[in-house]
Amino acid sequence: MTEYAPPIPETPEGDYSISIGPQHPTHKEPIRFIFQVKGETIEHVDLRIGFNHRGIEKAFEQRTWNQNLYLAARLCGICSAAHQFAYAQAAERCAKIYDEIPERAQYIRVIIQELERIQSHMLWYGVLAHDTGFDTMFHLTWRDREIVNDILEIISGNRVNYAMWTIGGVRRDISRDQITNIIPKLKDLRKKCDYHRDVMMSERSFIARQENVAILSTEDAKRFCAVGPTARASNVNCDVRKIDPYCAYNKIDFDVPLWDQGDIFGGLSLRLDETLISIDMAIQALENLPGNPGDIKIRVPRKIDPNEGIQRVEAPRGEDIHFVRSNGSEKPDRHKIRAPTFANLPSLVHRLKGCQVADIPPVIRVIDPCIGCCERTTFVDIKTGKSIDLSGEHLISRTNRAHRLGTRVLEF
Amino acid sequence: MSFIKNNIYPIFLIATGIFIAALFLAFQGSEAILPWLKYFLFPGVLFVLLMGLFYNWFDRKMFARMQNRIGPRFIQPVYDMLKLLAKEDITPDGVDKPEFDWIPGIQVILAFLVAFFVPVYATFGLISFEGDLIFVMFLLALVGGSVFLMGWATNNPYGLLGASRAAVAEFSFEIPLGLSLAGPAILAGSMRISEISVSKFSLLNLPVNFFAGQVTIIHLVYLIPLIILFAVSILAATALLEKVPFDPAHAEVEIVGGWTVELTGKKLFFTQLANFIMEFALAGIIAAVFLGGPGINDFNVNIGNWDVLGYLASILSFLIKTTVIVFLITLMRTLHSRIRIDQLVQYFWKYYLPISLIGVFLILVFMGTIGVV
Amino acid sequence: MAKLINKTKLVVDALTNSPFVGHLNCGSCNGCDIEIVAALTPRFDIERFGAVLQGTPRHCDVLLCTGPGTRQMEPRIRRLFEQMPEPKFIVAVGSCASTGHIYQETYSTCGKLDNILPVTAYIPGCPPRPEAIIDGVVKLITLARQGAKATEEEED
Repeated sequence: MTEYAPPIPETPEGDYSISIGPQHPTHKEPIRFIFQVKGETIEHVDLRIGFNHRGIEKAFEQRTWNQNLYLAARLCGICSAAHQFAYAQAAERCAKIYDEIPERAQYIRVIIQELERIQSHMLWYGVLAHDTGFDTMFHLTWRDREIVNDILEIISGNRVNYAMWTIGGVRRDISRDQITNIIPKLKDLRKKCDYHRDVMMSERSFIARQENVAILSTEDAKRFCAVGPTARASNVNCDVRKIDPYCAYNKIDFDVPLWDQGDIFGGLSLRLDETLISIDMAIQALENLPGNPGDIKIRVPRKIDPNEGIQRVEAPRGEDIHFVRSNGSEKPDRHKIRAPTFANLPSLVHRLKGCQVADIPPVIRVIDPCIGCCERTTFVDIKTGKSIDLSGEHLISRTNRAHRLGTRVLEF
Repeated sequence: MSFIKNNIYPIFLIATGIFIAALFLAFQGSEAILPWLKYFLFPGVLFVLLMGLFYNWFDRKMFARMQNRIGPRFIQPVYDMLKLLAKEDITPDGVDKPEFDWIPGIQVILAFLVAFFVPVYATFGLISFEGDLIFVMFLLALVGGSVFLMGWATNNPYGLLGASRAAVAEFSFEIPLGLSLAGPAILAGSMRISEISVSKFSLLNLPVNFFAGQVTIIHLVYLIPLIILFAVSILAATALLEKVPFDPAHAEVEIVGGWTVELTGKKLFFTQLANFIMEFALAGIIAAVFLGGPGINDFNVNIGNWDVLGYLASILSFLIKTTVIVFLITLMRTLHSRIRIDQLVQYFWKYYLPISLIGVFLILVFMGTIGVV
Repeated sequence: MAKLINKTKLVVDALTNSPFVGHLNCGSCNGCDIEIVAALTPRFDIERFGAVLQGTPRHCDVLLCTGPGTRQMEPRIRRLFEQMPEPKFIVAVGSCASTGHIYQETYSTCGKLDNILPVTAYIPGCPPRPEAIIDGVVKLITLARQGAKATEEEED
């Protein structure tokens, strides 16, 4: 059996090739790296994506504005709030009600996004510890991560997909009781994160795997258009929360940590710092929650007049861009997603060259890849190398035919 | 009643153990039945098997408890092993069939052979002859070779990578392991495990002898090189057993189990069993060489002609010592992250080999100046 | 549970008490995947039941599949299933794998996992909580035991 992909070119560069993915314990998500290896050193990297393509942008066009909220949350299970938020904000911009959102809703949006960033970063450094064989730290961080999940469950009712946003505000309020319940938990979590930081920044065998591995210089980070923590670890200040503030981020006091090493250890230190800052931000927002309880959303018409809306959001993995276009009906005309992982993949391929085979798991981990978000598709003619434009119906009929006939490679 | 029903296998195992011990003690005078008991039941195959499974459980349980988890049940390794036996045995296309079929079995035989040299209840093991420490070292080297061949036979990129890493690791840890075991042997003046274990100058016997007035205070200086060599031997044993931090050959997250990647069913059973038994055997050998094996000093000899109490005391002392060593190995894998193969080579050649050389050198210097009484 | 017939009680006990778990992402959104990983960690700890996460399908007994099964991934899913040694079980974790959920009508998925693999147990939820995943695995084990017992009685 083959797959819908061009054949692997025979490169004479390495001794043999190792394929990692689509199923591999390093990276559970379906993505395939083909490494040409000489001894233990990687000579050439080939990347295959598309295993996780679920046709979600097309599905957006078949559902109404409000139904799409729940589709947007299922783009990615780890940064679901960021995607859903970006979609909701883009739709609000499209409907020209962006400035009317109640202040309380904007603060709740900040709280949920920061809580999500905390759980995502804790997940990240726990899995990094697992990738380098440091299972104890993995278990301890995931034990403490349950605290954030509990807080999110108190606020939204679910551990992973919070479904807190709606177009025009948020769906659930945070009561005074909940705030008094949550703040001690966050302060407890801050102590535990301090402990994680102490352990991870001082364990020698852990650091030895990370220092001076897969360095991404500032120039390279800019050249490959890296975003989010990947770029900030290489001293590129690109935090959307600071440079293009949205919801209540301009009313909240926070720092953006930068690290200038650009190696895996830089990414780790940066995320450890960001976790602590995010905890502080969440506490700050919870303590200063303005407005009256219940004043959390405004009414939005079912149909949105023809317009366009675009929103940049700092997801835990970096800058996430959603674009929507309305045509006056109940459904969006077009929805386009640029996920942060997609922007970080070129820098990843650059970093993997020259690494050792043992470095593959932490180096793949360092951009915090989330293939679920990033699977968009372009049809490329293998012979000429040019991309082909296909309409939605054409695409559906082609894939149906290919599936029915059992041919694995689409002929054009 | 439900307790018995739910815990039928542990109760069965413990009852079997007690029965075997009783049989052994009852027939210890009888020449006809003793060898059979010796080789197949008590210090022999069955005991080694059960101890291997027990230490696997102990290792996993301690690992889990130190990570704030509950960990596996006591009977879990037995279930795992039985399950692997019941699974389908797949031979993939493209493997080198003779090696692929035979090496797992050979690994078990090697592990059992090493385990037979471990003194369990008496000062000597099942097999004991002059120079058996060298023979044990030779068997341990063969284990590394078998791992390499196994990875090579799978013909899988992960397997090949694991095999080459295993070979490199073997070259690295073998010399420090040999040197660290050689130190006590030089001090005892013998290459026989049983004689090293009863030496007055082993790591544990030296302080005991000092308090008993057998050696003078100046002899306590031998503790410095012995502690160094003991630490090196624990590190080398961790590398031989392919446990974190020295397990690049087996790395689960990068090369998917390395050389074991294609093994299923019976073959996986054999390799895992070999690993469990090897853990027990290595812990036993290190316990015998450094900590005096089953005896504490000449306590066993004093207690009289190996009566019941003497046997029980020495078995207990042996179990405590091996458990401590297994716990140290578990601690190693709890507290560290996996290191790369180039770092492994660097650590062993750059640090542990010179350290073990210094240890042996110190022993020789002290023997020249202070002497062995 | 035809796969567990002709086994003695001891073997059935061993097979059901030591489920080595594999994890396969058939195009899910990571939500179910992180809950599977969370089930390994101290608060839930499935190692209590003998379940250990394995990297290679050759060592697995139970394959936890998440996601609706994308068409690009379909040949790989089948191949992974073939690589597993008998007896083997597939558990569909999450609503996508069980029913297709929101991806039922999209052009690039197979609808649900049933269309690709013979699924034994379904764990609903988007995503299912770790407790639900543990419960699903325990139910699968109970089913396997009952099936083995029923076939035994039939033979008698």
